Amino acid sequence: MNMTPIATPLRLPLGFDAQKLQADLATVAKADWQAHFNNAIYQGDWSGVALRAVPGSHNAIYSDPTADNWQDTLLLGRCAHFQAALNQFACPLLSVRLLRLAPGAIIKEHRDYGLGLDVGEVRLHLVVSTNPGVECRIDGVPYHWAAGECWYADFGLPHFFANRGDTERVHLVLDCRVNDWLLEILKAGETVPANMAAPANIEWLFHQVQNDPDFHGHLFALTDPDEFVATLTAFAHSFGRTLNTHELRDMMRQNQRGWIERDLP
Amino acid sequence: MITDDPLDAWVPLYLQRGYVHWGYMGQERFTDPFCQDTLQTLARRPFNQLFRQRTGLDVLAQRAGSHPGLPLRGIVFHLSRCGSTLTAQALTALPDSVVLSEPPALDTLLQWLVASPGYGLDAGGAVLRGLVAALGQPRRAHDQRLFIKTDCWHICHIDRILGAFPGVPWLFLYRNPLEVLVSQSRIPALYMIPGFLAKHGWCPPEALLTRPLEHGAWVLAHILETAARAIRQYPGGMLVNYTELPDAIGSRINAHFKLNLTAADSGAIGLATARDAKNPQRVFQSDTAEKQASADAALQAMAARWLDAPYAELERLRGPFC
Repeated sequence: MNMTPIATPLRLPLGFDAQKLQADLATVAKADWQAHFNNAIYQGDWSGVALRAVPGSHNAIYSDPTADNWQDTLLLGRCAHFQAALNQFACPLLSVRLLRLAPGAIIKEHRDYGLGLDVGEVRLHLVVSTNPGVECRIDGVPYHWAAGECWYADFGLPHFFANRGDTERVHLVLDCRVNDWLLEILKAGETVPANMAAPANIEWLFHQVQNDPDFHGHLFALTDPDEFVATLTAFAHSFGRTLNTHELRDMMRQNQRGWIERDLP
Repeated sequence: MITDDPLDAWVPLYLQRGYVHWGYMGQERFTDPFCQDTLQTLARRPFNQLFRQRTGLDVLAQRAGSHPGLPLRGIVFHLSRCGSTLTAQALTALPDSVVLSEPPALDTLLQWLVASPGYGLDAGGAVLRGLVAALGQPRRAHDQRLFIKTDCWHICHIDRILGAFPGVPWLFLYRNPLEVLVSQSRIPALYMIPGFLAKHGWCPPEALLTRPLEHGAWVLAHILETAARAIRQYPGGMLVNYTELPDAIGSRINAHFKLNLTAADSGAIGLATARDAKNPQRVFQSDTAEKQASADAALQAMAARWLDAPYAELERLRGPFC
């Protein structure tokens, strides 16, 4: 019996040839990438190109929840492998985009509304290219999504992406209208055990702090976040490590938000 | 404190979507009127903002094997606005006692159990004991025993709760429900929101969905009726009316929960109950007369329709103490 009311992300039983998809990706001109419009929630380069869009839209990568006239773009017309990939989806496709997260870029934790099985529309991610340094956290739990895999997740839950590697992460992001075929595919999807580990540097800090009871006690007693971060920074420094304080503060904010939102579904 | 156990001295801060979110508690105590307030203070500590741990729900039952926690010596069910927080604060004043006052994680878990009918009484009981063990760990050398005050609507889970903790003495605390209704009409609790208790399996008649106050009367009636049923059905229960407080803590409750109060304990309880439990700057005073006087005709009609009969029945069952 599973008391988790919402399924974890699912790896869908669909096969894609990542190399062919990457060959099409290589044909996309530099100038075609457009910075993601949701610019308050990311740092670094997060950009997209539309494969299906609302004709004439001034912002082709906007997945307008009110639009109903999605059409293939000229770019998709040129990319046979992308077309073949989309043809595997026997459900109505709405917005379809390539979304690129450049090395060093971070999409802060956020929720996307207006999607979900309950509203008859879900978002799938087909991984075109990635690297081991890409961090994907859904509802705080890290996953690795490999190239060529297609994933379903409930993006109404808090989610976070970071590309800590040296190569681009590009996903083909499909907004799909739910039909019987899609429900069957979701039913056949595979859950992957969650890896509960915290991000590597916080894990390292935690381990060090656990082994130093006095310091543990001192840290726990601190109530001022600035002093706390400064103390940890100095502590890491004594091991020859430099901490990314933005990342620490992001994690603290995220956990605080988790507390505040603890009663949300 | 070097330990291989990563959850040593941690506490479940909250349950969400099938997971347990843990924060470090160290040797802190649950001293606030409600568990929630202590957990909030803990969650806000920078340490717990950075180093949160999360586990599956199964960890609770597993962990209870190796870390059984303090023995549970009493459960307080109640009608709300009836002196239950005063009673919890009196128990908190005992230096060897840990009191969990309306722990929110218990409420979440009970909701999940309602939503998961396939989860049998045994399996549900194991998780409940696991959660109580994790919340009720000994955290200081003096900690010897545990008490729980549930949310008022948890009387609807009394079969499950007493099933999980057989033999643990329990009491049901209440007062004249018209006075509770007066209190709720001034500062409504969450359960006054029509439909709020649906997640616990209590769905009001449709006509009450647009009448919050009468819906509240309906909830109170259900609580009273369930308590009357439980006191007949289960041993180990005791009925206590607000009118007996605070004296009953040192007498009937002392005997029922086997508190074995020392003179120092009685002194500490005296100090705790001299204060308004939810607002310790104020002195506690019985407000029966004032509340009775301010009940208008509408409230009195609601009480007559929903509450007088079950209240009278409980008073009859309380018997010689009336």
